[in-house]
Amino acid sequence: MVSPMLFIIAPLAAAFLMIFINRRGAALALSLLTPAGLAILGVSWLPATLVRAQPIVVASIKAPLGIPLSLDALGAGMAILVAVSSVLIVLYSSSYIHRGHHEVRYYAVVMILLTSAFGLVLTRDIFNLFVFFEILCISSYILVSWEQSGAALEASFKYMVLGSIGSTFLLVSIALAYKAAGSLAMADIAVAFDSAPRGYVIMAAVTFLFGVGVEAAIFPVNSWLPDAHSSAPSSISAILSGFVIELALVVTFRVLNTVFAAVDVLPLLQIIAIAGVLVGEFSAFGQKDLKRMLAYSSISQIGIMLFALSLGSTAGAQAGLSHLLMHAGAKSALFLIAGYFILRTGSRLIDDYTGLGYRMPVSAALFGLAALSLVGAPPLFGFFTKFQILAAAAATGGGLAWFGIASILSGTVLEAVYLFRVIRVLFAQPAERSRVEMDLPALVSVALFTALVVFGALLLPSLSSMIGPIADGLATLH
Amino acid sequence: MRKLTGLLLMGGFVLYLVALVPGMFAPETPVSLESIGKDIIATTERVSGSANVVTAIVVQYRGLDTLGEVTVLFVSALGVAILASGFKDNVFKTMFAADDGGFVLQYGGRFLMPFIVLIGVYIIAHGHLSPGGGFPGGVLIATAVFIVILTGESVKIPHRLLSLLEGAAGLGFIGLGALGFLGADQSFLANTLPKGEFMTLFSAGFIPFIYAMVGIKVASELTTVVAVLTQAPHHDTAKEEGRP
Repeated sequence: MVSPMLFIIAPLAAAFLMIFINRRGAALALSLLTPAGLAILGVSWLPATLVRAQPIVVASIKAPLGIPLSLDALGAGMAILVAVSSVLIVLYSSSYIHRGHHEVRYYAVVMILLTSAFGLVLTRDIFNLFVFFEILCISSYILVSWEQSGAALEASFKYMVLGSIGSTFLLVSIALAYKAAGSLAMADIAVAFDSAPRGYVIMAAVTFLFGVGVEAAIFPVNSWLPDAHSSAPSSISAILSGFVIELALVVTFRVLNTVFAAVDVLPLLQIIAIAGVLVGEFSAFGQKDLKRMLAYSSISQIGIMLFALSLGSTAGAQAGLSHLLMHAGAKSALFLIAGYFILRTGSRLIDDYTGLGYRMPVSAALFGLAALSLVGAPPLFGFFTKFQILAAAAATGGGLAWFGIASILSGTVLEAVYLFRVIRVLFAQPAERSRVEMDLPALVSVALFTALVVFGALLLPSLSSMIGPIADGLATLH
Repeated sequence: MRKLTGLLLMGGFVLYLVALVPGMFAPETPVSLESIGKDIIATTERVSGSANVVTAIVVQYRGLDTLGEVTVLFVSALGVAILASGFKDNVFKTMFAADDGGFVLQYGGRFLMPFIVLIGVYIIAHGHLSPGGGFPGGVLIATAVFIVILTGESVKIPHRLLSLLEGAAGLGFIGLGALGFLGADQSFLANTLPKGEFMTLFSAGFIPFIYAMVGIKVASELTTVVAVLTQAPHHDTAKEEGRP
């Protein structure tokens, strides 16, 4: 079998090769083929990882002297999701991104973002985690500022300031952990924290949460997100909302749940998650700018996922991960379609899309489907995942869980109201009827994302045999 | 409000420092912390063949982190180049172009350049023997170009060549790391090249080669950064902006 190290090496090598060749065609081919190959690699490793995690030794040096990596079922699952999403998003970018002399650099930065995404799920070393986290942040800043408009630069700068503060917090947490354990391997730190003073571990856990939490868009440290996700090019919004924040969330949660297992952070996470759901939905409700609305909706959806994961039950973790899959498909599709709405009308405001549904019928229909799934309308994928989360919360019981259920349900009502408002505007009587449908590559990409959220429910039975080991990855460090 | 935030941050920082003082609040330094250092010193010669333990740690024990740091620099340099191309106005450009440094400075700069490059190459080549290596060596080489630019000379930067070097060096790093897949453990970044005689220039297996790649990469990236910052906005981008 091919080494899982390829997840980190291949996109990085592709990025270097693009800069070396410096041709648009080569860059596009490389950035389509690399993630496609990695998706196949992920699928080929999935059966083995479902049985047990596959440790990877770097430089023939084992931990604690070297850097331990490992591919477990959760890692393989996330890797497949990231790889498939990025193939589709690159396909979309091929017609969406403005052709210019920077196009090669765009694909190179996307590939580097992929390297860091794969690295984050593979690494079992807390400093290596920091390095990949930095790469993820820096490539995101660049991609957010891509259009170089005033708003994009401002958003990117805000993001950079918050991201840098987050990195500092993360570094503080790593220093505390290294001090206690004398090793950077997560497994060693987990053991050391078991016997360390409680206050010390709490301090390390909280600094870690708010350090990585910036990238995972966890409630109080996510103020960068609405600006960044709305002023980035739509393909980048789809990457950031589609899998980057989800991935960061999973990684954050896994580390908190294993390395910092000595302190019970779950109630704190539940409170943060519920606050995120409410703040996100109420803010999204008031938005007039479509992409800002979707960005706020991402904040609330991250809250829903975090709530499910932090229930602490197996059912909750499984439901949270299914919801993650659904959100990745739905939110990517919505952002990608919103990108063409903006391209065709030249406006970000929902009110300017009056009657666009008649001019771009396929896009508008796909938008409607993805939006319905996000809200949780049966029989779409979103209904089942949201239902599973609510059922898991009800099974857990307790005041916080019921408050969470109430928040998610009321959030859903708000979500339905603001998304239907968009759909109503789309199908209002148009001023003109000339057809301006999306370009073909973009349409294919969006259709595949939407297919995931429409037919995702059919995947659930086959997913149920896999979701167990995948969800176990959240509680183990193998 | 701002004072309060500042006070809170300071308080947090003090608490953090206190937490790191042994025995106060933190757990005692565990035995393993001491043993890791000793283990690395004991195994360096066998594992990496490098006389400089720090280099062995940077390139081999934590080689993946170094590859990550190289990537951080690469992507940051890309970001600067992309941002600089959007500059409408550039303080650096006016600063450097406005006054000619004069005959003495320009010739002095040109005279210094080869020596600085030589020292940079020396530092890179001896990274596995003495303090230094690819990062500081690469910075020195970039400094040589920067000094010439500082003297007010108009330098024509070969951007295409620099990006070729940058890409090739990155691929070289990964290629050298991938040689490890051919080794017994089939592990990325394993040092499979012959280790040579300890403490000599031709030793430490792939470490000098990796440092050469890092050196080339750092030098070409920093030169690019200096060039785009001092020369942006480019004439060609200005022309493109003028297009309807």
